[in-house]
Amino acid sequence: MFAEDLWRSHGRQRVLRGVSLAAPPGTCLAILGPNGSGKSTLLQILGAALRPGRGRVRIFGEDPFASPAARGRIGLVGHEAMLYGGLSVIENLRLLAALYGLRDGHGRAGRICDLLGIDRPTTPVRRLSRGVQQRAALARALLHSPAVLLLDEPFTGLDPRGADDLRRILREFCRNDWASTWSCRGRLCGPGTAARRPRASSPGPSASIPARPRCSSPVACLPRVR
Amino acid sequence: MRALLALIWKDLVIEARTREIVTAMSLVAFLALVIFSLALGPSPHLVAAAAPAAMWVTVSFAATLGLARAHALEQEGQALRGLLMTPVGRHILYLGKCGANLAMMLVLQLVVAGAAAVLFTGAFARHWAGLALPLALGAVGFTAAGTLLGAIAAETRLREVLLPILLLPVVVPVIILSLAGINAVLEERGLPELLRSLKLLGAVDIIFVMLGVWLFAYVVED
Repeated sequence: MFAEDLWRSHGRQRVLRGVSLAAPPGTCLAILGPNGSGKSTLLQILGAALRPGRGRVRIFGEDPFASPAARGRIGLVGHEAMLYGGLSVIENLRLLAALYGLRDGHGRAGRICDLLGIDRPTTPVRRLSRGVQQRAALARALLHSPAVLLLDEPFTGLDPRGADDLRRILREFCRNDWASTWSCRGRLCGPGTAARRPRASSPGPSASIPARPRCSSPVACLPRVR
Repeated sequence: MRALLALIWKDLVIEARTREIVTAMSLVAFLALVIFSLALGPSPHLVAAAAPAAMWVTVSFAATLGLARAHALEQEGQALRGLLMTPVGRHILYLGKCGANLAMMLVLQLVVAGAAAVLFTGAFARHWAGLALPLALGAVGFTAAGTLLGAIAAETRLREVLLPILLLPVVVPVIILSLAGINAVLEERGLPELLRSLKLLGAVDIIFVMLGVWLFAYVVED
């Protein structure tokens, strides 16, 4: 995954200013920053859910906004479940299986619910607890076996068992030479990531994306939006 | 085609479970027709002359309400963002939403035409087959524009307020041409006159659908 010179504004407020990053296969890249620094916006752009004002994104060399195949290799967990509240988890997953063109969509949907411990897959999403909705969001992101996984504060709402399950899944994910990127505000970002605290990079038009010496995984820090 | 059908199925299943949109639209439409009926008074000529216009006014406002709600469902839980990340083309997302909206609008028109036949003039019941085409083609144009503009309005804070302001001026040609067709049927002016308005209505429908297919990506990605 590669992004170069990404700019994005919400109204008059400039959220991203020339962000660039690269995550080769097998990489787990953490994006740190304070509230409002543009982490979620960045991940939505990388996930092709939001178009940047300027700049380009490439997934395996392809533009995900132009190439449906590139979009099919991305999984994103955002702040919201990105599921239809009036449909059950299993119905949402079957709908997405049809949109991703997956064979055996019904079987996959059932298996991913079992894997993530979603015990009420036939209950409408809007009636599920926050934690189960988060598991459902993970199920949505993992359903099509993406090669790039984008996680926006993925541990939010998960109980300790759910968090352990997620860490296990992510370790497996990185072991398979896939790339994942996640954003977080807090101390612990996940497996193999030992960022001590969120830090803003030096002020300037671009966010710095270096491999930070104190972290066991590459970390990108976004500056606070001014 | 599988993706398109899945998208239409999704909206219809949600609607079948909640009955939020069709029920609200039908109730608003019925109440509006009752008010029109009371306002027009007992004169049968006046009622018969005003019935098609009253029907389209009612359908327009009730359908706008339904379109706003249909797009609000896409914003809840950022469900639309989830669809944008799938490999499905944005034009398929548009056509899927448009198809489901059209199905609900056709149900609304059926309810309104039935109520108008009871409250206004029996001519609606006698000429139901001839009225079906101008009404249905009108529904296509209205829905095509409404789906695109509904997506724009849903991204703003004003949502339900903004949609009628954007939509109603745009669909004026659709309403005028549909009314021309309806009047041609009710006044039994013959097939050529009906076909003339239907051809123009069909052309406007095609333009609206093409614009929707083309512009939807820009609306939902920005």
